[in-house]
Amino acid sequence: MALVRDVVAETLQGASLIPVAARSIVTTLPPSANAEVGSLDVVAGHDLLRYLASGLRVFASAPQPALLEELHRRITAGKGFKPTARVLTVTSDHHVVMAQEAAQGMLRGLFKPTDCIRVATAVSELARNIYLYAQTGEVRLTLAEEPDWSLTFSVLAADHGPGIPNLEEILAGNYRSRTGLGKGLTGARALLDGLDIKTSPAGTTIKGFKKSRPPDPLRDQ
Amino acid sequence: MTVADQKERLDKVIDALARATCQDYSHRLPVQDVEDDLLELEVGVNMLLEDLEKVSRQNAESLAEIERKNQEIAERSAMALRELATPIILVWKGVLALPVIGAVDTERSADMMDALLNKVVVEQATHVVIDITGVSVLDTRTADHFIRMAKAVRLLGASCYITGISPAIAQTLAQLSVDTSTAKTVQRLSDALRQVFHELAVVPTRAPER
Repeated sequence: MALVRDVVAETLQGASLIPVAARSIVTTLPPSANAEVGSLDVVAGHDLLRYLASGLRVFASAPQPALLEELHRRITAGKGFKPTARVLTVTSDHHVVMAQEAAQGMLRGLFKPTDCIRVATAVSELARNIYLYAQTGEVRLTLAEEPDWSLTFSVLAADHGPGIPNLEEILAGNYRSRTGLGKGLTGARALLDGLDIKTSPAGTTIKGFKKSRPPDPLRDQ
Repeated sequence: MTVADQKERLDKVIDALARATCQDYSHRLPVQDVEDDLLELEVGVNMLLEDLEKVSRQNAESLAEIERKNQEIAERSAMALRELATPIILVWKGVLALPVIGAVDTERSADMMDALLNKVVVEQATHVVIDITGVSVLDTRTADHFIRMAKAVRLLGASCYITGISPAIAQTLAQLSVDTSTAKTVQRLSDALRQVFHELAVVPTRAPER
């Protein structure tokens, strides 16, 4: 298997860059470039792309969207980056904060800042519901690249708690919780692009997702 | 020297090296003052063991030192964090500011409420400004907490401002349909202070130049 570093070198040599520029970019690549082609996950992959974009700006001055697209295609072997996933066990208040921070860390630089906050808030609501009503449970965060290179963040919150008996009432928005505002679930639904709730006395599983275009690495920073 | 003698001396060398692989460097080979081929080997091994012993002792010492320092840092940062959790600043006579930084969990929010309300009473505060610039994510429960805090402050007879809501948080709160109408929100801490000073008819001036 070829290494990302070699593929980048090859691609840059094929491009209309001066040899010194191509060599400088290749020699200063971060450690993630030592991975095999097609093995990078979304977060590490986009980090590398941002790095390449800034490298191209520094050493080659002209923005090269087509070249970056080619690099993206070649370092993922045309299959896109692998999904990044994080699983967090929620058993305390502190884990709610950790889930919130994990979501933000995963999306930083990939989603619009406002969307980062939206998603982190929604994750926080779901994690907090686990802690408040089921005591223990699990939150799984996934960031995946679609074939069109847009990104989809999904959250899966699962617990074996008592379930949500008055789901309809809550979702209709006229429920007032004893422990809070009673707006966590409807809030999470409003903040995400979709929220699917399955609940029974044996437990609750909530799946939510939010889509975003990948930011143009040439524009940010 | 017989072959058996030589074999015995070689066995001792092997033995010492075996101990060394188990990180026991304290053993030394007996050295005779007859110069022969094996003497050089024995002296060499002894010197090696000496060096190894010294280095491993230094390692152990610096490890212990690092461990101790780590613990010290952990303790100090935990203490700093506890102190940092609720810094309440007396900005002016009767005016309190509470800058909130980082994530707010249940324990911290209870501490914060306690500390703030006590301070309001002790300082006979008439105005309180809660600044949440440092809070990156505000979910319904945290928002609810700040709204309750503002209500409690008002019950004690002081007026309460919440400042530092970023555009992203404002959008999120609007989407969460959290009712913030009961809290007086102002954009920046400085804006709130200007209003407060205006109400108190205080004109903050620069310190006279010396």
